[in-house]
Amino acid sequence: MGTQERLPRGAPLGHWSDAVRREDASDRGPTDLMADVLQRAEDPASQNLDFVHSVHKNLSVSTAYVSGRVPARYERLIARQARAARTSKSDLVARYVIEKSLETEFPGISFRDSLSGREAYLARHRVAVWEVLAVYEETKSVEKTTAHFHWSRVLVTRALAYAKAFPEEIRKSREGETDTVPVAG
Amino acid sequence: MKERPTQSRLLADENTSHRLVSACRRLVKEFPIVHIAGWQDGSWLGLDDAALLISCAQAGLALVAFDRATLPWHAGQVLRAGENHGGLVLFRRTVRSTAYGDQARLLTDFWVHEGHAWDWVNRIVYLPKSP
Repeated sequence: MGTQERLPRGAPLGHWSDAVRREDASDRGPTDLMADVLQRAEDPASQNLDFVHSVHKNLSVSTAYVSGRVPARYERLIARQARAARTSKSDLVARYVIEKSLETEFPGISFRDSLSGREAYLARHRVAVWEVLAVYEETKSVEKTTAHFHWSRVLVTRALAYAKAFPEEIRKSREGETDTVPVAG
Repeated sequence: MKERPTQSRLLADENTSHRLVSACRRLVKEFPIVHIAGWQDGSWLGLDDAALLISCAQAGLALVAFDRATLPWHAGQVLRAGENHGGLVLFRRTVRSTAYGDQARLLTDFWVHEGHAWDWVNRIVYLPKSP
């Protein structure tokens, strides 16, 4: 299974619990820099990498353990948010860790719920990364894509960089949004 | 005599292009559409789907967008929550993102012949319409 398939696409909260493993101290290890992980992800010899280190192998997915202490009020906040989202606290924390690390690695990219799960989109805009890629595939030009959205070029290049790094995730988002039957005619 | 600005009734979502708005106005003078980036100084760009749909209802605007499954799903969620949305006009997936002329013809034809007279609250239409 490649790194792409282990991204936190998640489906609406709680549907990606297999991406998170419960605590097991024997699996703990040092964490990697995101840039290192991403670089290795493109190496065919590194098929078992994940976004955090200390690899745990089971039949379906490699996961890893991360931990950190937070003030008690944030623990209560996360517990409340997990209840509201009908998911476990550990799943929600894992999602926060993964998405925040990706947002840091790819400035301008954020994540939101969609019918197909969590979806990468341009922060402070309403356009998903897959939608930028779709326009780029039509225009075959960053400049024309920039003109289409009337954005600065950097927004387009950021979206395309994310799409290039995670093509499988973007493909699934796109299919999830476009392969369904319209609700009305 | 000063010309009165046309009151907008359609709001083009951000996944459509400004060129759609321009193309519509070339086909129909004062076509009542505004792009979301130009509406309320762009302050609606940061709204999520549900908030945008509710805001559109309050402003009497139908949202024009490319069809992505989550948007009509959110429209349903808005209804189930007891709120209204202002209506959706969605370009089917057969319509290319950059086919501005086709989009404008579909939208203006539909609006001039039918859409302008409708009560758009909680209504969803796909373009091109089903035969």
